[in-house]
Amino acid sequence: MDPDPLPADRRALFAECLHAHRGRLFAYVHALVRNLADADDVFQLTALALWRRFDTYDPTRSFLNWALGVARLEAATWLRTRARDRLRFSDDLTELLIEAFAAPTDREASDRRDALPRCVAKLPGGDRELLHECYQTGTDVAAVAARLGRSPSSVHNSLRRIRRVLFECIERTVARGARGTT
Amino acid sequence: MNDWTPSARLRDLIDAYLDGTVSAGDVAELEALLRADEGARTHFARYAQTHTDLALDLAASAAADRALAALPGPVSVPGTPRSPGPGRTWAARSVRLLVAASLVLGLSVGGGVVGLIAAQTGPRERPGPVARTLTLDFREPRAGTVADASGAGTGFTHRLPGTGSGLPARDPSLTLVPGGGLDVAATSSDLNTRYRLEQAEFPGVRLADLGFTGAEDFEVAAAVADAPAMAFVGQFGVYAGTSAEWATRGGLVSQRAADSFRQFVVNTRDGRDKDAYFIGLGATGDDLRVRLARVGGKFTVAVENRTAGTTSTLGTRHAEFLDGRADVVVGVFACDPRGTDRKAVRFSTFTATVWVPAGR
Repeated sequence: MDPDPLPADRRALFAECLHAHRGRLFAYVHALVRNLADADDVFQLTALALWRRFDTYDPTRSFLNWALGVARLEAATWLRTRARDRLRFSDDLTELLIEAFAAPTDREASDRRDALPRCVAKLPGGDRELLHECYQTGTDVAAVAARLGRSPSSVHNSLRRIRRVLFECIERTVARGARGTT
Repeated sequence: MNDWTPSARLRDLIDAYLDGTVSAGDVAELEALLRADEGARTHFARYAQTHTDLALDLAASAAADRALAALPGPVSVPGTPRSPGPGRTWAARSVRLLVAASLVLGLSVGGGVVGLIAAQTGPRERPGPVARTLTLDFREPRAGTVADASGAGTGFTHRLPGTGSGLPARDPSLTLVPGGGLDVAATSSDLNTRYRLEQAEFPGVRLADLGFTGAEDFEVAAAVADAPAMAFVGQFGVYAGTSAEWATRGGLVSQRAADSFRQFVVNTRDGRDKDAYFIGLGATGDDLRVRLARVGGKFTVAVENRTAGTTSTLGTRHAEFLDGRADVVVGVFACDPRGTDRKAVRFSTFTATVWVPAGR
C-alpha cells in the first residue's frame, strides 16, 4: 500500500532536500552502477525508498549523507539481482565513498557543474565532436570506432584524455573562483 | 582545492572502471587503492562527478529529449531553467529526476502513484504540458487492482479489452515477487488472429486515469529482467490499444534459433497483425527496457538491451486507429502461442506518462 501521506511541510522539506542534492546523489549512484540508464532507475528507486523512510529522517543531520546511505543499499540490491556484482566495489568501500561524495559544499558542487560547459567549449573541435558522437548521440564506442576507422581502445583512450582535460580545467576554474571569493 | 595528486595507475584504473572496460583484477586493485587512501577516494568522487555531469550534459536520454523537444512550453525545475545548449539534457534529465520526487508526493490513482511535475516547478513563462506519471515497482501489493495468484493487487487496474475474460479473479499467471517485480506467465495466446484471447495476459492501466483525452502525447515503458527462453514467436513487451483487435505493441519476439529474440513493433488491425517491423537481436537472459511512445503524434518503440549495451529505436506505419481515442489502455504483455510450459517474464518496473496541458 502507499505510505501514509506526510504533512505538507514535510513533503516540501523532502522535495527541497532531494532537489538540492540530486546532482551528487545521482553521481554516487552512477559511480556504483556505471550505466546511465541503470543510474536513472536506481535513482528513482532511491527516491521512492527515501520517501517511504522520510519519517525516520532526523532533520538535524545531513540529508545527503542519509540519502547516500539509502542509495548505496538500492544500488547494491540492483547490481545483485541483475548478477552484475562481479565488477563492483565491496560494501565497505561504497560506505567509505559516501563521505567523499558528500564532502563538497553545495557551492562547490554548483561551481563545478557551471564550469563544465565552459571547459567543453575550450576543447578543440575534433574533441567536441567525439564527445558529441559518443555521449550525445548515445552511439556505442565500438560503432563510433568502426565509423572512424579506429580501434575501440583508441577511441576509449581519446575519451579518457578528453575527460582528464575537462577535469583539470574544472579544477582550475573552481580553484580560481574560490581564490577570488576569499 | 585538493592538492593531492593521483598516481598514473590510479587514474588509469578509475578511467577503466568508469568506462566499463575494467577487469575483475583491476577492480580489486582499484578497491585496494581507494580503501587505503582518503585522498584517492576524494579524487575518485570528484572525477566521477565530472564524468556524470558530462554524461548528463551531453548524453541524450532519447525519451527525455524527445519529450522535451515535443513540449510547446517550458518545463522547468527550481534553479534549472530550460534552455538550449549544453545544459539542455541536464534540464531534461532533471525533469525525470523530479518525477521521482514528485511521484512520491503525488496523488493515488488506481492504486498507483501519480506525480505532477507542475507541483514543484517554479513560475512559468507560459503554460506548458505537465507530465503525469504512474510508476509501479511491484514492491508492495496494491488493494483493489488486478490480483495475482495469491490475491495480492498487482497495481494494474485494467486489462486490454477483449483479453483475459477467462482468467479467474486470482490470476494464476501473475505473481508479485517478494522484493519487487511482477512475473507474468506467458500463456498460449496471441492478438494476431485473436488466438485464445480469453487467457491472454495484457494487464494495464487506462491513460484516461492520467488525464488523457485522446490527443496528448504519452509514453509507456517497462523493464524486464532476465528474458526467458520461449518457443518460436513467443513474445513480451508493452502495448497501447483500445481492444484486442486494435492495438500497437513492441518488445522482443522469440526466433526459431534457441534462446534468440528479435526486437519488434507491430500493429494489430481488426485482429490481424500488420505493419510488423523487426530489428536487432536479443538473447535469453538479457535485461531490457522497452518503451513505446507517442510524441508529436508519432509512435516509436525503443528497446534498450542493458546486457548488450545497445538501444534500437523502431518505427512502423502509424497506428492511426488510436488517434483521438480517449479509451486507450497501456500495459505489459507476455504470450507464447506455441509454448507449452508458460514461461514467466519478470517485469521489474512499469511507468506510464501522459503530457497534459497545464492547469487541467
